[in-house]
Amino acid sequence: MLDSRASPSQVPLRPASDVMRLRRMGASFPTRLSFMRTLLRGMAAENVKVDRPVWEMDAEGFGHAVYSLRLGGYDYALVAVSTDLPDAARTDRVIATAWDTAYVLYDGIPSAGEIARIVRDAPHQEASRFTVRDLVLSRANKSVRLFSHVIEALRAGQQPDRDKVLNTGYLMRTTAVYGNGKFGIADRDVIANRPHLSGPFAAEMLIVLLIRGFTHDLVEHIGGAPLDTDLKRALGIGNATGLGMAPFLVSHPLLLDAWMQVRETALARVRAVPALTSDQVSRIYELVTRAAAHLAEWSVPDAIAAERIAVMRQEWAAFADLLNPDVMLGDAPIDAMVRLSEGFSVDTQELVAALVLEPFGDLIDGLTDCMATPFVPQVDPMMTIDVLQGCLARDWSWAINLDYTQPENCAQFWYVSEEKQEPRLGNRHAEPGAELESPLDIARQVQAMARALGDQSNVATFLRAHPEHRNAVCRVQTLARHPYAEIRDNLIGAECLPIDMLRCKLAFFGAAKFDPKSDRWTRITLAQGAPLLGDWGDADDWWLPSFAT
Amino acid sequence: MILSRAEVAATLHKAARGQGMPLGHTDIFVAACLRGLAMRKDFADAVTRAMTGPFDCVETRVALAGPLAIDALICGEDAVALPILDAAEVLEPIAINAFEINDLCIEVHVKDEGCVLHRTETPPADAPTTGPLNIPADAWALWQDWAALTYVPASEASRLGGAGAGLTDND
Repeated sequence: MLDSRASPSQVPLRPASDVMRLRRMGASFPTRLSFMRTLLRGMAAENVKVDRPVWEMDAEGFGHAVYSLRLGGYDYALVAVSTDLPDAARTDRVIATAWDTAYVLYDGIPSAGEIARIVRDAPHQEASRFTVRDLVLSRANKSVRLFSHVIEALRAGQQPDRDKVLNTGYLMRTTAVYGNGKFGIADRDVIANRPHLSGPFAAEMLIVLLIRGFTHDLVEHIGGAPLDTDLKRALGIGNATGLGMAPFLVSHPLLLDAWMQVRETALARVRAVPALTSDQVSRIYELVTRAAAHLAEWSVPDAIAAERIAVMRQEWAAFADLLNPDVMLGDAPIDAMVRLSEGFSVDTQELVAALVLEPFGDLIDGLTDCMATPFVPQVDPMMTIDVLQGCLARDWSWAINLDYTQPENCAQFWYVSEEKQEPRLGNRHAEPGAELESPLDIARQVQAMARALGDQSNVATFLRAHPEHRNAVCRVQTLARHPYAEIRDNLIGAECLPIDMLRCKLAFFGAAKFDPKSDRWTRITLAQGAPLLGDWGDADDWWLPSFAT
Repeated sequence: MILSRAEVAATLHKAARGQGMPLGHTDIFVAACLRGLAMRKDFADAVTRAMTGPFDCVETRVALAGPLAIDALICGEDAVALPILDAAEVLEPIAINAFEINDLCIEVHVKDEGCVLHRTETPPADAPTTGPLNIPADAWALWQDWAALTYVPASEASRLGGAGAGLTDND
């Protein structure tokens, strides 16, 4: 819980019973609190200079490169490896075994021997072993539709077609970004206290940002001519994300609570702003216009997502019409904006909630220091059973009142695949393996625990008789102290859409242009519109960028 | 084998579940194992003994009895006596973790006839908690086998829909 004793004024936070529903989480937008934005602010504040001491690429762009930088008193390097990949071998899925490019974010400046090791091992990704000097491991595939076009244009002495650049938004998309000890790389402990990398997924954001710069350099190298700066800025880095990301939000309840607490506290603070200056009013009008342009440029083939975007476009115009001088120059105008948004769809409400944070960096940016937590949930054995039952009644009615014998309430099961050891989601009534399901059925576990409660005096006594319910007790006690720690929906129900979990997490990363390919994987774009490496002039003004001319 | 702590933790979580350790106890057990493996080179054997299922006796399984004993101490007991445990070595890192989390100083006495945990005023000595772990290859292979007991083999349905993506996704 954030300490509000010495904090600016704020209105009450939005209730977790509303914020933590999957449908609303699945409407999340990036904000100035997102991890990529926070990292870039830090890099800009230090005026970080990125060097490229190694560039060993053949004419077709195959070879390796090293980028180096100093951030927060530490040296880091990106080692990038580009290999020739047949089109047929190119897949977004994590089960792939070869990629166009592979990367390691290295702790320090790598020696020639270390570069050679990484050049040898990084292309094999999961099939290799790495060391504690390797902080993050990643790979990326070319966007076939754009990469070739850009090179052909540059080779012809022209700039690529602007519409094609904007429609795709990236030259390459990462298909995995591995941190925290995967395949022998450094545990998060190594960087947990370092400036600028202590925040959640900050190292992962750093490698993504450096990869983006590499993709720009690579097409210029192969094309033999520079890309226009505005086109470069319009080229972010793509990402394809599937189910592997979804269980994280369930298995890290305190982290989820911290992220949500920060965002909701920020919103509560700006809603308490008593009045706006004329500059702030102008800024908000500018952002409303930019958001409309962004919505206009956000085009996806998925029918459900396209319909939601279409509704937002219509609603956004109507919402903008409501922002008259009476509202903007009246009392508590941000709170008024948020209240006005409640007459529109959840998607539009969340867009407004993200927009209103933008002009108030001084008021809310410091909150991002609270987005990482070293703590893990603990059981309070002294709690009486009466108090535990009170928690259940207050926080868990949505879970304990469900009938899990009904097929629709237990229609799906989460599991780890033997083939790739990655999270998957199966149909309980049509697929084998439900007896091995992963414990993401939190609601069902809590109901089972609630039904087992007897006349014990306290939790310790109950758990001695029922050690099988320790996890459920811990979840209930955790939620009592951390109200945003739990997704308040049945994650094994027929209506659970993993894409909502993915979008929530990705929005915290700073992702935009969500492009769902099913209800369980999506493409997104990161860092589109972000400043180029070392060109930090307007490093903090690229929320939902528009590239309309 | 040199492994990151995250790798060891992930495998132990799954292996413990694969052996039937109750959820909630796995978290405490794995945290204790990470500390124990960093403290003692020969700790892997204790991990294996403590993790071997089934978990049908609260009194003699350290993964169950350890956390319950800490619960009792937190609730005000001065001392908790336990019978002979499957892997009493795991009690010490459980107790150290309890100090770090709950500020509860605990001494662990392991004797031939059983173990006693009692409150004390003396905090535990600093113990290593960071850096990669060196795990014996045979123990690691066994733990991975146990972790694999939680994996679901691929089926045609899972290949088509489990992850939700197509097989090639060029854009």
